[in-house]
This record gives sequence, C-alpha cells and structure tokens, in this order.
Amino acid sequence: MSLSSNERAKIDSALRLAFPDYDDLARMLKFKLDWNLQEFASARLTLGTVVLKLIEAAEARDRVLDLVAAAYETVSSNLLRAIYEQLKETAAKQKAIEAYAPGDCCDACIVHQLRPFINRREFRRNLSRMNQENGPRVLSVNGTSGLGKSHSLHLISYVLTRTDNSRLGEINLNITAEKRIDPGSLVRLLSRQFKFEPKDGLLKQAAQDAWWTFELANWLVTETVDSKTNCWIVLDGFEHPAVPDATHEFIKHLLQLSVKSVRLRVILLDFSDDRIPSEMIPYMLFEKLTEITETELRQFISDVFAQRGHAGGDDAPKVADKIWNKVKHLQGKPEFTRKLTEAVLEELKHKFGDGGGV
Amino acid sequence: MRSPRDDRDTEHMARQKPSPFLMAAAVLTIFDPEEIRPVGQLSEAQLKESFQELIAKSVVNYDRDANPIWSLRGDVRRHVLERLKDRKVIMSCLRANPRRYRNSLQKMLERYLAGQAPPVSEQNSYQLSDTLQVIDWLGGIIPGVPKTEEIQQRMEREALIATLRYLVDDHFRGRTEKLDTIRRYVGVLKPASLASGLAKHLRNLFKGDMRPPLLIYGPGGIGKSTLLAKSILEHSVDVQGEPTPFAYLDLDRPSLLAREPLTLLAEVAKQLAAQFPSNRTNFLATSNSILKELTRVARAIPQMTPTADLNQWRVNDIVRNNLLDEFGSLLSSAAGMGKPLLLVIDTFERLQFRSHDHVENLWDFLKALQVRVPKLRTVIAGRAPLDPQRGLDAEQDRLDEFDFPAALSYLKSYGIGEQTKMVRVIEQVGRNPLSLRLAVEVIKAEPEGSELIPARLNENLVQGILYRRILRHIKDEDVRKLAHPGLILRRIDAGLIQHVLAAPCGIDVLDEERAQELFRKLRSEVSVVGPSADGSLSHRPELRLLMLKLLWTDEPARTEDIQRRAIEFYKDREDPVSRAEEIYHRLAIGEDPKTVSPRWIPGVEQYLVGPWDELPARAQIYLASRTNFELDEKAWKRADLESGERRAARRAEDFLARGVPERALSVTREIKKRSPASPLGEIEARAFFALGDFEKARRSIRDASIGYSRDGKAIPIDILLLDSDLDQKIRLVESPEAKVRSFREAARHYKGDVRLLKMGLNVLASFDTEASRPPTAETSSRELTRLKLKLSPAETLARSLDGARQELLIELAECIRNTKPESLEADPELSRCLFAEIGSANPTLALDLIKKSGMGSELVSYVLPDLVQLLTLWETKLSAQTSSAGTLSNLAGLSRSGSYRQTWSNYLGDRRSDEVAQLLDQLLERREMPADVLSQLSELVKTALRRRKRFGIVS
Repeated sequence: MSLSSNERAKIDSALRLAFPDYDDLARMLKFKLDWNLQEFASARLTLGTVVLKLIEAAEARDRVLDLVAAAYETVSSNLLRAIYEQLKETAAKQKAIEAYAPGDCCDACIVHQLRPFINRREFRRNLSRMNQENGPRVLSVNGTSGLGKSHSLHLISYVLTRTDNSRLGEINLNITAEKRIDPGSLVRLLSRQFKFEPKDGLLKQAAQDAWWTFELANWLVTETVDSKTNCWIVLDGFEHPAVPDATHEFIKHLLQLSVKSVRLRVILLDFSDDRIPSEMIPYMLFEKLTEITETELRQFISDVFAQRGHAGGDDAPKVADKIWNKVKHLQGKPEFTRKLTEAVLEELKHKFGDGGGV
Repeated sequence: MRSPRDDRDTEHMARQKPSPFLMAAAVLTIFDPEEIRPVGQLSEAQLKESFQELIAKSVVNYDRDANPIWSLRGDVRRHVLERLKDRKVIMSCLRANPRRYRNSLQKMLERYLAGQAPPVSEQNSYQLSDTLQVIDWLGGIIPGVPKTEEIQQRMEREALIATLRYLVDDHFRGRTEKLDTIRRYVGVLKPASLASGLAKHLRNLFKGDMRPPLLIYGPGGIGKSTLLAKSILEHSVDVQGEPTPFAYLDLDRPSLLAREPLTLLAEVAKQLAAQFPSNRTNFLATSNSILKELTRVARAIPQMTPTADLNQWRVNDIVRNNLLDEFGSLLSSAAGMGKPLLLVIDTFERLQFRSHDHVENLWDFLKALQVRVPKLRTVIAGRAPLDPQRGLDAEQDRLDEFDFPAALSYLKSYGIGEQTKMVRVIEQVGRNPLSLRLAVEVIKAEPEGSELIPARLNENLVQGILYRRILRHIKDEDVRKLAHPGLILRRIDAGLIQHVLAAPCGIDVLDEERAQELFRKLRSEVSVVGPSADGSLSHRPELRLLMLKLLWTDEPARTEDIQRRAIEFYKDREDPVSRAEEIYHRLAIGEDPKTVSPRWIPGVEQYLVGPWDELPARAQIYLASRTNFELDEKAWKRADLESGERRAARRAEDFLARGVPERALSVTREIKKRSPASPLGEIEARAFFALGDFEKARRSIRDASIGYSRDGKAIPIDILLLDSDLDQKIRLVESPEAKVRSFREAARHYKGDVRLLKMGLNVLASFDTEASRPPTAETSSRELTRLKLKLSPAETLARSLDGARQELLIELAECIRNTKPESLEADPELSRCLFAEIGSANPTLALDLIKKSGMGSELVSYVLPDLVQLLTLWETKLSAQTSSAGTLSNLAGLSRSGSYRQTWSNYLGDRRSDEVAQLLDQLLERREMPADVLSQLSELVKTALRRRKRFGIVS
C-alpha cells in the first residue's frame, strides 16, 4: 500500500514511542517478521532516521500493515492499534480504487480515500503537462473558497503514486495547528517526504535572513537534481497571515530556482498571485478554478460508468439528472461543490455500493 | 478548503456531542498521543472508538529536532469548539490535561479562553501572530477575540516602521539642517530653527500646493537612507492626532521597476493600507488591481523561453490613468482632501546610472501622480544631482559629511567616550559617516592600537586603509587570504573559491567540502562581505571599487591571473549569471569588446548593471550600449558606431514599448551614419507600422534587409515577421510565388521558431485578396458585375495565388512539425488559427493542433448555433462506423431526445459557450473525428475568427 505523508509520520511517531531503543526495535523485527534491522539502517543513526528507513523498507516490500501489526503485538499500545485500524481501512479503499483505474492516471475519476474528482479538465491537462520531462515547473491554482482547491491534492497524490520515479512533498497549513512554519521547518518536512538528509546546521541556523532562506531553497533544489527523482512540492494554506515573511521569501526563492532543476515541480494551492515574482510569471501555469458545470458533471458520470464497464448504457444520464436536480439550486453558493460531491458519492454508492467501495 | 470527507466528519460532529478525546485535543495546541486524557467518563469501548477517531483526525508534524508533534486537524478543532460554544465548557476541557505543553500559542489560547489576553495594542509581533492563530479557532465562538483584520493592520504597520527603525538604529546623530529642509518641504512639522520656520511660512504664502520632488544627493555611505528613514519616522508619529501618510520605496528592490512606475504605485497603496485601517481594504484592492494589470500584461508575453525579454511589457496609458485616478480619489477620501503624502524614493542612483529615459519616465509618473495628489511630497535620495540639460523640475540639496559636533556625537554613540580619542579619530579619518563607521570597527578590533592611519589623507584612501585593517582581523588565515584578492570577483561561491581563488591566493582547497567550509567562514565576516540575491557573496560595492584600484596598482599579475581563471571557470557555462561574469572579466583584462560580443546572450543585461568605473573606457561604452546604461555625453562621443546604434536601439525600443513611436523615431534619427546590419532599420519599420505609415515601414524593411544581405547575415526573423504583418495589412501581393520562396528560405534559417508559424499565417492571410475570393451567395450583384469586369487580370492572379497557397500550406505543415509542442501549447490562439488554415489540407496534423489548444469558449460563442450541424454529422458518422447508436451523446452524458439533431439542438440551446467548448474538447480527445467532419470544424473555426474580427474584438 502507498502511504500519505501524514500516515507515514503517524507510524513513525508510534514506533518511536513504542520502541525508544534501537535494540528493542531490532528484536521485534527479528522475532515477528524475521527482518534484520541492520540491513535497513545502522545503529549509529538517530532513532528518527532508523524508523524512517524501516518504514521505507516496509513500503517497498508492501509490508506496512505487517510492520504495524507486529509492533502492536509486541507492545500493546493504543496508538499502534488505532493506526493499524486506520491503515486497514486505507488499504481496503486503495484496493477499491483500482476498480476505477483509467488508462491515463490523470483521467482518474475516483482518487485517494475514494474521493470523486469531478472533471477539472484544465487541471488534469496542466498536471499532465507538468508530468512531462520538459514540462512547466510551477502551477498556481486559485479560485474562490469552496471550489475544491485543496481537493486537488488527492488527484496529484493519485497520479504520483502511479508515476514512476516521482515523490510528493505536501504541506497543508489549513489543517495544522501551528501556521508559523519557518523556512527551516518547511524544508525539514519536505526533506522527510523526499527522503533527503539535510546537513547539520542547515536547518537550525539562528539568523533567519534572506540569505539563509536562499541557501535553504538552493539546497532543496540541488537535492532534487541529485536525487534523479521527480520531486513534486504541493503547498496549501500559505496565505494565512501568521505565515512568516521569511517563509514566503523562501517560497519565492524556490520558484525562482525551480527553473534550475528539471526534477522539481511546485504546485501552489490558493497562493496569492501578488506573491509570485513577476519575472517568473511567463514560466508558470496559472489556473483559476470555477464552479463545476452541468456538462462537467455529465461527462464525469459518463466516465465513471465507462471506467466501471457500463459505457453506452442509459443509466449515466439518469444518474447525472438526479444528481444535478439535487444541487442545481445551490449554484453560485460556497457549499455547492461540497454538496455536489456528496450527491455524487451517494449516487455512486447506490449504484456500485458493493465492490466499488464508494 | 476542505475535502468532502472532512465535511462529512464535521457535519457528523455537529449533530452529536464531540467525542471525549476530540474535546480534550481541541484545547491543546499539540498533544502527546500516549499521554492525552479524555474529557469525561465513558465506557471502554466508547473511549476506544473516540481515541481511534482522534488519531484519524490528527496531523503529525516535526519540530526543529525532528521529533513528531501531534495536533488536531484545524477544521476539526474549529468544529469541536463551535459545538462546545460556551467559554466555561471549553475551559473545563483544559482540566482533563493538567500536564500539557505550554508553548506560547497554548498560553495565548488559554488567555483568550480566560478572557485575560493582553490588548492588541500592547501585543508584540510574536504575540500578535499567536493571536492570529487563536482567532482561527475561537473567533466568533467566544466574546473578546479580536478580528483578523485588526491584528493584520497592527502587524503590517509594525513591519513598515521596523524597516525604518533598523535603518536609523541608535546611532543617528546631527543632520539638523537637512531634517529641517525636509520638514520645510513637506510642510507638516515645524522646522527646528527659527530661520527655517520663517522661511517655511514665507514659502507657504507664495507657493501653491504642488511641489516638485526634493532630491537629496551625496556620495555612497554619506547617510542618505538613514536621513530619509529618520525623517519618515518623525513624520509618522501623531502630530495633532494625525500622522503624515508615507511610503518608502527602495529602488534596489527588484519588484520596483522604474520603467513601469505602476509597480511603485502598487507598493505605495500597499503601505498606505497599513496606515489607514478604515480604508485598508480599498487600498489593498487598488494595489491588487494594479498588480493584476501588471501580471496580465506580463503574462501576455508569448514566448515561454528563458530568453524572453521581460523588460518590454508596459501597461497602456488609458489603464494607467484610470489606476492613478482610482488611487488619487482613494487617498483623498482616506486622508482627507489636501493632506500631504510623503513619498520617499531611495537608491535613485540605480535609475540615474541606468537610463535618462527611465528618469524622465519616473518624473512623468510623479507629475501625473501629483495632479491627483496635489500635496504629494516626494523626497528622493541619489548619488548625483539631476542633469540640468534634461530640464527636470526638482529642488536639490547636497548631503555632506557630518559637522564636527555630529561626528563626535556619532562616535560617542558607539561607546568611544574619551574626548581626546574621538577628536584624534576625527582628525585622522575625517567626518564621513562610512569612514567613521569603519574606524569604529577598527577600534573595536584593536582596542590597544594607537594610530588609525598615519595622517589625514584622501577620503577614499582613508576608507581603503581602514578596510585593510579590518581585513587583518579576520581570524582564519585562509579566509583572510581569500578575502582581499577575492574581491576581484564580483561574486564568490564555493566553486569559485576552489577553482579560481585557491591557487592565486596560496591556499589548499582539496575538495568541495573544504571550499564550502571556507565559503561559510567568509560569509560570517559581515564587515567585509554581504550576501547577493543568488546566494553568493559580494564585497561592499564602494569598497570593492576602491580596493580594486589599489590591487591593480599593487599586484597586476595576480589580479590578471584571477581574472583569467574566472574566465576559464565560467566559459563553458550557459546560464546568464555565469555568462555575465565571463564577459565582465574578459572586458576587465582589456579584451576587445568586438571579440567579447559573440559571448553575449539574452538575459545577461540584468547581471551587468553599471557603473563600471573599474573597467577600461571602451569596455564601459560597450556595456552601456548593450544595457541601456547612461554614460556622460563625452564618453558616448568616443563610442564606436555599433555601440552608438545599440544604445539608440535600446532607447527607441523602450519608447515603442511605451506606445510612443514618434519618440522612438526621433531617437533613431539622431544616428545618421549606420552600420550595414544596423538594428535601427527594424525599429524604424516598427515605429512607422505603429503610426500607420505602411509605405515608410515597407521602405525601412527593404533597407534593413538589404543591409543584412550586404553584411552577409541572415535577415532577422523579426524583420521577416514584420514584413508579413505588412503584407497581411495591405493585402497587396504582387508575386505570391516570391512570398512562398521567401517563407521557405526563412523556414530553412529559423527551423523550429514559433514566429515562423505567425509569419506563415500572415502570408496566407495576405493571399486572401478580393480577387482571389470566389463570388459567394452573399456577394451583391453590383460587386459581382465588378468582379466579372475584372475577371481577366484577376483570374491570372487567383490561379497564381491558389498554387502558392497550396505550396505554402505544405511548408507551414512542415514548420508545425518542427515546432516544439510546448511552444504551441503556450499559445493556443496560434494553434487555433493554424488549425483553421490547415484543417482540410492536413487532417492528422490539424487534429493534433486543436486537441492541444482546445476550442476556446470565445470562438465557440461565435458559432454556437452552427455546431448543431457539425455534432449531428459527427454523431451520424460515428454511429454508422461503430454500429452503436448515440456514441457521442452517451459520452457526453446526454439523455437522448428524438433525433441526433434534436438531441444536440436541445443541448446547445441552453448551454454557455464555455461548457460547449469543454464538451467539444472532451469529445475530440476521446472520439475519432472523420476527415470531412474535421474539415467542417476547421471551416467553422475560420468563420468564428472572421466573425470575431468583424465585430472588432481583439484577443
């Protein structure tokens, strides 16, 4: 199964709390899974790094669930149990999503956590362009509140898990408690997701001046080149007024330096155009989301039916009619997209309730 | 923004009481998942379920030491608190976890919960940002939580003032007279001296509201920025309850483009937003609308290549005047009619040294602004007075070194308290603030040292000697060795330390790691070097220039060695920064600009901004001509022909971009003698074209083309494109075959260039003469008779045009294949025009084009009713091919209603054009379009383009 960055971090935290010692962890792995921890990470590394490498290894072997189960069997922790339950649910959903997998992953209708992703043709097209080797490096997605900008992350994540040699580093400040994320913390979070190892001192510099922010951005961009992996950064919620200026400065440097790395892609969700350096504008893609139209809904339903092998039937238009009639009175209101998505979920559940898993 | 799942979660919670663990986590900024205790008692099973919910609805981040930190998802927290609602109930949740993390955010949350938060006006900036986050959770739920806008306003104003306070610091001394000059000029504060006060009174009696800018000039390091900051600060405090609105603009900031002063206005509006809380939204809206316009114009640059000239965009005058009007009326409604606005522009020399035209441009803008804000008071700081020949209106005042008491007081502020010592320092180094600052550093480093410098010397020499003394105190020997000759380089990074500086400086740098270490150490020598925008290091410019002269005199061989190594280091690199450095060092060692010229690439200009006093004179002229930098007229008289032409070309280009072709022509006319491949011919042609004088434009193109041919050079594609623009405009084609030949030749030379496609379209359009068009049903009988009468000569031309058109379509198709897909994707309008032309001749290629560009809702809107026929035909053909009815309408998710025609007619009847365009794009991507339908679609696009043109809408 593929893990989101948040799921990975939760496992990391739970394992570190349950096994604060390298030897304890090694013993558990040996007894329960017959794994030799030395093969993944040496005892000289910090516990954080050891656990991170262990999770990576488990992901590569598709044994994440086994790892968490083994840990829970050894240390009876409520946290490990809760995470195990959550992962089981995610794994089931991931399986169910495969029933909808289209030929081109950018065309997916049902994405992570079984969320419908209704049309957004322009966004899909932009994503596809960015996925090309010499494609544009930066995309800024804007639009009024409630249109599903943050939801875009689910398609991005879906596409990247199905694209070779790609990694996703995403930070969504809309859901975190602390919005004052300084450039060092931002790079730390991205580095963990990209599996980069920042040099000592780089992230802890006291003077958070423009110089340091440049250095951080430069380091990150250089790492993306050296990693020979396509690294996608998705930043959401960075318009919160508590976000420090230094962090915006860092993002600006990142955008300016993005032209230097063929490996880096940056997607800014709900990021003010004013913050984008004017010299970058010609090299960027800008997309303004608009409300989903009836045509888009109809195509979406038709696609879902086609992906489920129901193409050509008369059901799709009827289902589309039903959904549209439920929500059309909400057009132009902030809750429209949410209600539409709910109606879609409900109808699809009704239609494919069994194997579809929606 | 929330996902549907999040919303289901929160709605579910809204119906029920939040679960015990969620209630506990909602009042904790962060929690330990193993320590957190639930609120209230429930059965074990319920608690288990609640804990599971908490883990599912939490996010994990990492602290500075890479330890995981748990917190409740922001949207979930908000909904839990909304549900709890009551302050007491929320407070009681805190009691469940007496042992909790008490970071500053947690403390602020609890203070607001307890109703004990400090007033906003007393909060420091960190507390303010804590409050901002608490507002997200508690705002509108419990009373006493401030509004986000209130906090933002406070933070913005704090940030504005902080910059100025930083400039002034604790060591500002003297300058009483200059402060009085500014007070008099602004007319709000009373000048400190009686004479000044009287002068102000008299001046006010005789002068109206409008005043030209006040320019304070003086050499670098004399304290201009500090004086301006001090002046703003004293005007920014309340005087009779009303602080003077101000804006501080440092032209060193790359976002402030003097060639487009609206960038300045956007910043002014933004700064005023922080000063007028009740009009904050309006000022921000004005700033945003300016930025949006700038962004819109910048985005219109068609080429998405790293070499695109970003300097050519400019907002048109009508929009500019509207934005100025909007700003003027907003300011007068916010501050009251007739209130002054103190506008301070720093680092004006950036502009002075770059271009007279930019200075004039700024002056024009300030004049236009003053019309809207009569009491605009603009104080400008620059290094030199204005050129009197340019006739720019300004009050000017020179800023000199400190007077003696101010110099004494300045030294005293740094703790050099002993009177005799201070006097001795002043005797030795003079009263220049920079010299004194350097002297303070030397004294700090050498507390026991007696002599600063041997005797009173020239100011520059004083600074040079002091600088060397500072260099001596660099602790690390290798860094010291690097620092001094290192300043030969304009930028230093680890790579340059390793490959360029190490050997001539006599230090061993065996690997990159050591180079990085030295770089880091050098970087910490803040009195010697400072950071550059690209992360490299550079020496303080005025000191670098000084030391460079000394180095060339003392160590010419070593200096040249470093320059040559730098050239070697940079020469194989392609990026503009490296190329600019290579060019700089080549010119510095005296290479002939003609041999350096081939190394020039677009984009290096911004890294070769003058002045270049350290370079040989001919190098300065060469760079000035290529970068639109101004030298004095004497220097220009020594310039060679090409340099003079390049300078004129850049100036004229700028006038063209500003929409004043007449002025562009007056600049080019100054250059009488021309080189064969002079760039001025093309510019003149464009100016004539813009003025509508097509005949002269054509003549200029011909002359320029002949010039290039004589010089053995290919005619630049921009000239060819302009020529085809003319053809299209005039629609008078004498020899279609020659046009095709010319296009073929261009295609050979400029293979893959997207401009070829535009040229091809222009030529095709020029073939569309009246004579070549067959009579149609719409042709009136009178026109028909006229055409019949002309038939004989026209027939020949029509035949010739037809043949040429076919040939050109073949060539054009080849050009499309040779063009990079991303260039076409970047310009969908071009792709649509190409599709319209080649749709019938080359269906495969055409389909590819329209798939990439999409139909575009605007074009669809012109042919909406015509699409019924096309979609019906397509559906009929497809259904016949696949033996499956309604293939297209099923794909579109449409309920069939009668015939195909009826179904599509119903659909198109009540749909917006953007929806239809979306659908067409989708269908084109997913279903095959037979060649005849495609041909019909291309005709439809052609019709749409024609209709759009007829209605006068310009895309």
